Amino acid sequence: MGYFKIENGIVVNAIVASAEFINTIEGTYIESQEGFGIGDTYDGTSLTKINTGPTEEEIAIEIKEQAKDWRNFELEKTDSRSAASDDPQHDTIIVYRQALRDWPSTSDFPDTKPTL
Amino acid sequence: MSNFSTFFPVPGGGGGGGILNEEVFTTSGSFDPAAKGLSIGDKVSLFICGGGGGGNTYKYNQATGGSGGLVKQGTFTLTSTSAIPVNIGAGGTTVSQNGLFGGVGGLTSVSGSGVSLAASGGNGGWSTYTVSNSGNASPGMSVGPHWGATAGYSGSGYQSVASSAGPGVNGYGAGGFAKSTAVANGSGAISIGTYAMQGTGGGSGTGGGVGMPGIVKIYY
Repeated sequence: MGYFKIENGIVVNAIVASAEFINTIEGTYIESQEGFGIGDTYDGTSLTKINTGPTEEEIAIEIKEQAKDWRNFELEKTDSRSAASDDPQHDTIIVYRQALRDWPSTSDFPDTKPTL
Repeated sequence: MSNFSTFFPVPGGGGGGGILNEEVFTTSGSFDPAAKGLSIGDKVSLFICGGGGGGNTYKYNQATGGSGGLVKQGTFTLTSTSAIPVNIGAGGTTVSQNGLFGGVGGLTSVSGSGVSLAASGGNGGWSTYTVSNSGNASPGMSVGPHWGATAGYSGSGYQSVASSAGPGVNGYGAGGFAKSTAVANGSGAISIGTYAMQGTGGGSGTGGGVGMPGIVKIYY
């Protein structure tokens, strides 16, 4: 079983121990709870997670920016081949590059990438 | 009862020899010197490891495995034969949200009767979208025995930049694996953490999890 050591309202350590052992040591311990850990706060009744991550909106923006990075990288990679009319995949590459350019304005963006 | 001082006799001392006794703790408890037949002045040797850091199971994009718990060793002379508390650090919790770190592993400690040794837990692993063009995981980032693996995204395109997790010390306190869906082949980063010995960091990214609790071995 897991226990949190509490000092000044903060989880300062997490240990694995039996209830019998916890009763023999000094300090304030509470049973650990899933999803919480060292650094979180305890008000005497409940735990509060102190981590705060980016918002869903920030995540969505980042996903789109990374998708555009990937799109630009793919365009860069296929640029010379699109200019080589003797490339056996020339026509396919032209179509692929157009799909890459159109991708940000489609409903597939950013989750489903165009494929060559 | 054999003890450390008979196994490693002091200069000018007599013979000694034999195999040390060992008590292993994977959950907190007490080491009782008196019950082991030890006396004040006898020596005990410790090998301890903190809890492994937890992983972030968020599947995108760059990921770093949780660090393994620190390993420490030491030899001490007993100043008392009172029971010595042994606290085993728990593994860090896992999170599944972009941009957050997994939980820190718990501190493993042994303190009392002349013995004092502590090993901190590993830091949690990471998974994020937020470093698209800078601060990417880089090959060779995992250079220490406890460091978590890295896997992830390179700003100029999707490519594997995975590096292996640290192997720990005698397998304890190894770094956790990292696996990002942006990495086509993260296998280089997932081989160590899967041993899951005590103190191993939790994996991050796809298939990640919590860290492993620490361990204490006492030789006497």
